[in-house]
Amino acid sequence: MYSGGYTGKILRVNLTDQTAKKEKLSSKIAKDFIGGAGFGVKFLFDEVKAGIDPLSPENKLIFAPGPFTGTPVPCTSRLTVTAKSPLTNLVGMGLSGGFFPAELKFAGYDILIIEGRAEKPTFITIKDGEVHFRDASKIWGTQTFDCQQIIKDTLSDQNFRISCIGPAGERLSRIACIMNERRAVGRKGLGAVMGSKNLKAIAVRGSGSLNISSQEKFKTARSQMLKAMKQSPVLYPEFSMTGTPTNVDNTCALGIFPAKNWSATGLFTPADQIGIEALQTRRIGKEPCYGCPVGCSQLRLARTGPYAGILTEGPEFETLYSLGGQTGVDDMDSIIAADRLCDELGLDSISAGVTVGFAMELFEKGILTLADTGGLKLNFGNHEAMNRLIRLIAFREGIGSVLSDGVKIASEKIGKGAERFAMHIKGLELPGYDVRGAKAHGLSYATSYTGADHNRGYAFQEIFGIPVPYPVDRLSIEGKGKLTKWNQDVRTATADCPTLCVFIFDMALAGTSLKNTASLMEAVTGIAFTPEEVARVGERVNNLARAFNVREGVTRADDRFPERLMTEPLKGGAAKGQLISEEDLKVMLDEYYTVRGWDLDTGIPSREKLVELGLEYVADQLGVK
Amino acid sequence: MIKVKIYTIMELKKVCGQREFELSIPEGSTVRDLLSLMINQWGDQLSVRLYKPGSDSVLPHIRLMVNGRSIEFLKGMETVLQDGDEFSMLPLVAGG
Repeated sequence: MYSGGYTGKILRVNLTDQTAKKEKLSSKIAKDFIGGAGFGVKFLFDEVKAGIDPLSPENKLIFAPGPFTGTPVPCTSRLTVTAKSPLTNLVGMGLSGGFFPAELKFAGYDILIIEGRAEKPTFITIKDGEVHFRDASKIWGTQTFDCQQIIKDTLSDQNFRISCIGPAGERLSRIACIMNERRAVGRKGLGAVMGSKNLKAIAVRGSGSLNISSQEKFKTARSQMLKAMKQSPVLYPEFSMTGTPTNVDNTCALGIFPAKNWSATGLFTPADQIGIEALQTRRIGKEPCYGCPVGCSQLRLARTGPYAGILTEGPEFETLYSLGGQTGVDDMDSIIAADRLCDELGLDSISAGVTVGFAMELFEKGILTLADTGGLKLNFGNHEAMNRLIRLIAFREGIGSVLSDGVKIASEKIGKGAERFAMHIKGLELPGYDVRGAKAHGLSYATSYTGADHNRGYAFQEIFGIPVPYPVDRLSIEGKGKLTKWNQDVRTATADCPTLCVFIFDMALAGTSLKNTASLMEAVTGIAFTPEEVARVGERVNNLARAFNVREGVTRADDRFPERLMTEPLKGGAAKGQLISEEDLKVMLDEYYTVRGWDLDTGIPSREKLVELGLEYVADQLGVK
Repeated sequence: MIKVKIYTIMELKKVCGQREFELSIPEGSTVRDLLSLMINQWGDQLSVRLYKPGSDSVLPHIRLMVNGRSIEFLKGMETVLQDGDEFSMLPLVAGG
């Protein structure tokens, strides 16, 4: 039985009948799934039936911080939000930091499950044990920052922490996000799920605190973690002052900063225009997440032209890719403005940017015309058109109505060969690394349970050259199946479950993460873990998530890349000539399925593997022998 | 002589003054030779950012690449450079 870290309670809120009930978190679920992504996948598989419409009341939104969240373990105010994604029709999971995750724990909950659909626009307040359903008709239509402030004013308490949707989520855009303060649960269209439930916002205020099972063990484990962070060559002072945009410089150097809808990677490399030196001229301060001594989250202010005076958090590397490289825009201030716009309107800035870049290529190829775009000249590099189009997408107006559901659905509606230019895997728009020059990173995109997701199995060995668990040649396909399994399982178990910021994992703890998590789990929760047991949690979560997707019809045929990445070699830069051929993919997938214990033909987990992971009931449901 | 394109980022770019530039080196030069030449040009400012103190071992967080491939997968410091090669010196950055 756990004796710290966890609050021990699950809060289940039903919007249809306006009820809230508290359930006990079992010790077995805590041991088998730890928290965060583990809880999200477990409850999604068990409670959301196959084949449901993700935008129906049958879908559920599962907010799950981890056992470290709200404790003095640094950099752990993180949570996952899990639902069936309306963008991929598979496991949809987004992560976010900020203060909301810790506040949910202080209010007394390890998991918040939202069910049903409210009859009319609603927001809920959770203040410790009290849950109230409130009329949101007056705030329906507000952008996310105004929404949060109005709720705080209405409740006469500025200390509520709020997750909410903007106009995009209200209009069920399948690339809508959930915002908390300036942080986003960005990907997989979870804002649309919230919108489909007529749920504008969740406001949380807690006064509790979390027990630490063994103060003595905790002191030792925490000091070891802080020591590793201090020894990182990059966390202090660099990363704490710059945040993620240094990766623009890095990926441009590697020739993998995707450009112009992935048609000009290595040719359009705007490191001087939107790399870290340029961006630091716009930096005015930082806004760390709760309990984070690093504080990578930077505030930057646009200073020129029509964008002067617009403030944003970031833009993060991914946004500099999606609203910069991907669209051919190298005007920094316009990207700051577009990032802010996405946050205000509640759009995932990655999917929004990829969708804009997709529309730009269609326009340049004549598949979309001025008549289609309502007069918008959607050429690559047109930052004014980009900012205008983001608004149209969020409000489903004009050409935005076609694009509001992401590139896969848009390409099917547009036809005329548009599918070839839709850069997605399983429906999720590609994030910011041209994986033709980073093969394990690519294999993780192809096999991740959430589609093309950089957060599932980030190959830091290839992107940053960190030699853990061993040095890796980014341009080779050899051994990438085994490496991808390691990346996915260890990252899941040590970052996404406990929940720990992935940047700390990548930059300070990669080599010791399993031991670090095991030590902290025992010290915080009292549940004994070996490093091997921690890794096994990651494997369990990835297999259960795969099983959810198999139940939805996923097979080996879905684990692949857009045609462009398999047929068009990179035209310039340090990875010139690279692609991932059909044969390359086959070799990597065969190895990956083999080390995973999945069927080589179907990609379905074997009964033996599921039983080994304590998931026999899953094998029964899938009917695997 | 052959020409090699040098690509740097972050603090190494600041030392060298440019993100991309060309250097002429004798035919048959290795990565080790190129680095010696560069240290001669930029002195301690460069060497302290490249090497462990008091040694000629490259710091573990500096990635050296030839044509996009880490030199540990080529012939390390003895990798022979060819005319037109791109040599990258990339300190560790963070964030994704």
